[in-house]
Amino acid sequence: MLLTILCFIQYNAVMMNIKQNDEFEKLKLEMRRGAIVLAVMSQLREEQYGYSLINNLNERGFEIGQDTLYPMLRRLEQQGLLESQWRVEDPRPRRYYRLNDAGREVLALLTAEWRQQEEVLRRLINETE
Amino acid sequence: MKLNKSATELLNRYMLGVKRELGGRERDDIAAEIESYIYDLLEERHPGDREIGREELETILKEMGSPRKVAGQYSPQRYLIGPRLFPVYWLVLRIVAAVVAGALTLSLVIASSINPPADLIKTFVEFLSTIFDGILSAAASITIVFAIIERATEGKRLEEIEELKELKIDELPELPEEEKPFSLVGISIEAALGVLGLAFFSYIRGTGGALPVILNPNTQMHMARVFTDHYLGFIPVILGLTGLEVARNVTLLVQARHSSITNWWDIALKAGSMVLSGFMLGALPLVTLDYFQSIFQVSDLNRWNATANTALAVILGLSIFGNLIEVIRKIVREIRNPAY
Repeated sequence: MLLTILCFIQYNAVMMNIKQNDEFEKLKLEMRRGAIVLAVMSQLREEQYGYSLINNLNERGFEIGQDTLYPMLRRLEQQGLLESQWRVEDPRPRRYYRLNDAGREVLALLTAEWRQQEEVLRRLINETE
Repeated sequence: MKLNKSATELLNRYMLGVKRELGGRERDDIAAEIESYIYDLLEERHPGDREIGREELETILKEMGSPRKVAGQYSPQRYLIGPRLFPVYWLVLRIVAAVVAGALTLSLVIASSINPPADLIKTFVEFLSTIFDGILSAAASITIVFAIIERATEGKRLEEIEELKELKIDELPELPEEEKPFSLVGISIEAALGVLGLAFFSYIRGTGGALPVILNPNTQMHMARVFTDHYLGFIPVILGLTGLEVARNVTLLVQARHSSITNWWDIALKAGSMVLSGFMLGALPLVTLDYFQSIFQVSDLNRWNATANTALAVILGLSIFGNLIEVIRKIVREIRNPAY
């Protein structure tokens, strides 16, 4: 009987922990979603192809997968912020992306906005700590 | 880096699957980029000039997922009815569902009054089925119409929708009537009367529609009828509706406020009473004055019976009309200004 109760308590504790982790992951994903565009654009001041961009971001601590990056690159290009071209290099063709003038302007605006928001958030968080 | 024959075949099949899932002018371009990514990944994981086999490629493809999943990431999110139109769609759906249910209920009441149904329970089940079918058909039609509007106006600005987003102070909802102070005493009395009603109708059912006549406590008591056999046929339904009314009052007492559920519960009960009155109107005579005859020795009993049933018919007609007005009023209020 005691063993059953202990198992039940342990089971509930584990399930609660899993649920909390799931919720945290969801919130983290939501928080990151807005920052992905800025992170990607910041790396496209210089020309890069998709795979090198993924590695570049991952090495700097910003995790991103091909499933997120490639559709985003295509969307940014459709919005007129990027330009791309296929080039054959060693020995396969790769598609290279870089910001155009409009993209650089938007990046500057987004960066300013990010810094402002960062400052506001820092103040808000410090107030509550 | 080179793929062996088996790996090349697998990659070609995978890419064909991706292309089939992708649509639009950019299909080949997107597929080429995905293929390029796969090669980059293989190159990083298996550097050197060694030939890549099927197993190495399979590991990467499994990580990426099915062609449908990979291609799906490039498709814009699809809605049947998107968030732009959904609030209007939801409002129209609720109004139409209420109108269809009301119209079908009214038509049933009228039809039952003119031509009384032989089997009450069968007719009631058919009525529920008709309402369900009617609401489902109306909802399907509205959904199709809104889905067409969604696609036809994709990316366009709809003035009618934009207008709905503007704040108009005059159109803000009034506070629901039920938010006014909750009458604990009134609900308790209603619940108590409901319980008495249940006891009374159960008793009447047991006595075959008769009540005891006690003229002199020293003489023997006898029973005399008040309700006809027609009326007795309705008692199970009356008991059911009264039971539901008592349950609603108990729910109100427990939650100590009117909620959306109790309000719709009330509407359903009033609609049920209306349908029942329609059936009863078509099943006259329902009462007999045998009981009074045994007390007052009324002469010309048949004439008095006819008068009593005519009076009852008027009461039932007024009850149908009153319930209809009440049901419409409450449905409109619940849709425009729902409780929570």
